[in-house]
Amino acid sequence: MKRRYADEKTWWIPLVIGVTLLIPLGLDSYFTYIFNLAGIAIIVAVGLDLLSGYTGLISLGHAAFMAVGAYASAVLVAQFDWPFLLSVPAAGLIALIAGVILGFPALRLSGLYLAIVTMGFGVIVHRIIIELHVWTGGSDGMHVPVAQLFGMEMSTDRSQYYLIYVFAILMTVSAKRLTTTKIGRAMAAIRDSEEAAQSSGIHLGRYKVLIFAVSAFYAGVGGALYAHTTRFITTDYFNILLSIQFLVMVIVGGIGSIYGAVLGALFITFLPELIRVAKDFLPPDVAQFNDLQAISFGLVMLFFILFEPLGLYRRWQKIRIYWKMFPFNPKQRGETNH
Amino acid sequence: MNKTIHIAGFFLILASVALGVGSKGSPGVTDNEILIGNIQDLSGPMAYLGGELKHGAELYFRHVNESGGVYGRKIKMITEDHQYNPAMSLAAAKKLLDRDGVFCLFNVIGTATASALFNLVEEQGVPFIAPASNASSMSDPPKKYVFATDTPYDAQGRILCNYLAQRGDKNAKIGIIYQDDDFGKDCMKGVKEGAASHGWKIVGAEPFQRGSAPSFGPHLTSLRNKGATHIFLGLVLETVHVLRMAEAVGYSPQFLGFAPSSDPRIAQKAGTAAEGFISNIYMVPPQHPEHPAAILYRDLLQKYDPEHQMGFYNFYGFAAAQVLVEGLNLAGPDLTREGLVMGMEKMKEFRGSPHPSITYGPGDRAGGSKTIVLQVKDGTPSPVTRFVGE
Amino acid sequence: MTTQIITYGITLGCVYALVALGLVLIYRATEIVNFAQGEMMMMSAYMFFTLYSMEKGLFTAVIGSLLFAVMLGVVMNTIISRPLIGKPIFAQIMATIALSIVLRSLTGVIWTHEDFFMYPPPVSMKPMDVGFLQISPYQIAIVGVSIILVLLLYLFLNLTRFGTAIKATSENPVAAQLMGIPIKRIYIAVWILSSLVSAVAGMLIIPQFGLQPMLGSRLLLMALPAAVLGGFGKLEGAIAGGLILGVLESLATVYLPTSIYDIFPWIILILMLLIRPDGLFGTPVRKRV
Repeated sequence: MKRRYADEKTWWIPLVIGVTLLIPLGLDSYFTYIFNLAGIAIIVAVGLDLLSGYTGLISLGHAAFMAVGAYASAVLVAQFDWPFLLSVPAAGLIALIAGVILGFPALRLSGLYLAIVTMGFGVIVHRIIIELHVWTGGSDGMHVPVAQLFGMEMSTDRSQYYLIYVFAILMTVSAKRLTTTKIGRAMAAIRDSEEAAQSSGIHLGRYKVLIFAVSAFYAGVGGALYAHTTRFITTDYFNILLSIQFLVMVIVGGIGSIYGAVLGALFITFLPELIRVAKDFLPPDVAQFNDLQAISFGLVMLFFILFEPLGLYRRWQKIRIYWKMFPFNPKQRGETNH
Repeated sequence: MNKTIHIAGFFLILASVALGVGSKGSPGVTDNEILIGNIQDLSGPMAYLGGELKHGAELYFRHVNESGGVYGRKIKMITEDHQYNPAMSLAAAKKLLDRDGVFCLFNVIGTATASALFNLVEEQGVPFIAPASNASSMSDPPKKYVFATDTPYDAQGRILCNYLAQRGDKNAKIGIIYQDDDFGKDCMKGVKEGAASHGWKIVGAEPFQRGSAPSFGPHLTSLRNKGATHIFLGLVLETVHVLRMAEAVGYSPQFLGFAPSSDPRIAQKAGTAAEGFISNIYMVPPQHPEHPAAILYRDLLQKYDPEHQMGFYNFYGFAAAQVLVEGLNLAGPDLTREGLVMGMEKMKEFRGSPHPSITYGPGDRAGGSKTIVLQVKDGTPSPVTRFVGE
Repeated sequence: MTTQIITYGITLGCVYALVALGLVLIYRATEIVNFAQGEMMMMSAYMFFTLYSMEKGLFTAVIGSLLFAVMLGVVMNTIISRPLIGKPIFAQIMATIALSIVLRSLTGVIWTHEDFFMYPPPVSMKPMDVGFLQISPYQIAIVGVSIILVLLLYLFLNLTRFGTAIKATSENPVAAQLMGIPIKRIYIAVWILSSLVSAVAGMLIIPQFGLQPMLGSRLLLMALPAAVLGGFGKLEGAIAGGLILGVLESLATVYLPTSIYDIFPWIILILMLLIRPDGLFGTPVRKRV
């Protein structure tokens, strides 16, 4: 029996980690900040992919878990003087509990209804945060103290970058490992057919709640990091549009693919900012066009869903296969399944 | 098609890094130019207002530039879109500072979107002039680099109550319909304090979720049943819906509104429903017949963009630009960021803009503290007082 | 006073019901969840408003926007329906959401982000005394038009051949195709129907809500619970769901603390789904083992 991971080509993982660590050295504050947002997005998107991509439970309210994590960490640090190192996992745990709560309706509801209920969940969390305004500042939003790690203040974009990406790398690798375990296989089985999974002995209830919990934990950690990076949070930000954005990341990257979720998170985070920077190179009439960002975003989404539903990762795989077989590539037939 | 997607999709990330490498800017001042960073909502829920603010500021800057600029430097404004999203606002600010190298930040719309920038400007020492928000948090607590111009909403509420008392309304029963966020609650706080100081009772306070469908039947019915004689509206554009709905159902208490609802377009859209509607603004309205700033605004609008309709937000952007230019003038020809801060602090009783006299000082970052009360007569809001305080 | 609240609730419910109806029509026939339904409704409403403002008369405006709705339905079918049929529900939801973003921005571009109002409303909104009710002609119009529309729809679906074909496709697309029913044409028809229904809903609400690009998604957020409440299966469910939600919402604004207001439809929905996971009238969603 081979060692478990012997078949995987893992040599490139240290390479990616190395590149990741080196990137900020060449970037200005603005782009580092965007990378930071992307890193946070990676964490949330990976968690969401586990839930919606791998297990097939669509969540339209994932921003709510992020909000829970963000506010939890912010309140713990600001109001109760907790150290950052404790507040982040605690925030993740509180989000996890929220995930468990949401996991229970998941047991009884079909995919579509579940999706709609998750939407409602987002609205309810929003309201709860406002009602707790004594701690959270309500609809005014809350200024969040800087993260303090071992006595150092993580106040520059660069230090935040390293903080975020350590989390991102760890959590992404864990997620990937998870998919190869028994739990991961159970998740895939549930997505493909709940009846069949159940008849194979998979306890639906336990797994569904579990995966909601894990996914919420990821989003909670992402939220906590977000709070200490942007240093200002409002409940308005964690709305359904944000939830949709994360789903888009999962789709663009490729449903059910952890690395795809990473790619998707990077892509979607960078896209509006690239449009922002790119418009400096566009003729002034187009550049001044007010709705440019919004329309471009929607069109890109549409494009991916219609033409490459399996996402960037699939596209990457196709590229790899192409180069592997070069120059013996078969003639192009219609590749996608219409 | 496939190959195009290959290239587009995958190399996007590498392109980002390439574009991101090493782009340092000078802090926005050259011998002939000053670069200003502006962030507005250009495609989100307040896109209409954002566009108007940008246009108004650009109008004034154009005038200044064509008259020779400030100490020979022309003002150039770059506007980014934040879609009313604080994280995007921060990203836009960083882009403006790092990549474009703007000298200062100016007139960002939205309380949350402006607040999100406070840490950044304080840490990097970037002046942030005239954030487009009446929230008291803009100047309270005062922040060294943030200069607010507007009389805050809660003060407006108290001033309106004073006006009612002064004109002789007795035994008022006060109702409030307010947006359920910081803006609305600021308004409500002012009304409550004002009502209390005159011994009036608040019979009902109905929240309205910003962003939900503007249907006010239930709110009005509830307040009507409680006997409200005066209703304060802590709303923005939905004011029109309330006025029209009230007219449609035949309910006519005295309606009062805050600064955003003094825009003449609101009166216009509400038609006959707006007649008698009282509002106040923290600056002279654009249609004021005598104030020099209003006259200048109308003239410039006519000269450079006659198709564009005169409007409150348009004028507000214009006014903010005036305050900024005054600060630049006071800072002197040797322009630095610290210099601008000191210049702004030197501003005393500046009346060149439509704001009530603006005064700053060390530790004082609140601009005006008075408003003008308006009432709609024949479809246009007309002033019924001069600038009045509390 | 209570009758007034209920009347308001019913008129609100009629609008929700119509939008939900549009959603369910499409879903039943194509199994696609159309998150762009709100935007479709809104664009037809904008068209109606533009035509009406050009002072060509109410009738022209109505016909014009209905024609626009037909076109919109066809376009939507081409863009969405054909590529998305059979694809996982995930992809459908995301595609229609993407489309809703594009349509919303497009609306903002074409008509600007300004708020528009229909003033004066084509039908008066002042309440009159009718028997024991206090109701305005506008409210009567909403209820009346809704009833007529639903009746027409019912007659069409049940009494015409084409309508029966639509029902057959909804039951079982494969069998329908085997029986010689031209599926592609059915899909086009369903999208057109749905678009028309939404367009009528849009026209009805303009006097009350005004027009702005965000209106579509706001209404969708209210119509979705209604559709789910009724079970996403039967058309009657959508109508029932809409009415129930409208009335409950209206009652809630008066009798419940106002901070609950925005989460109220969702609480109702979640409670109901806990008891009846398939919705009130719902058929259990088809599962493939």
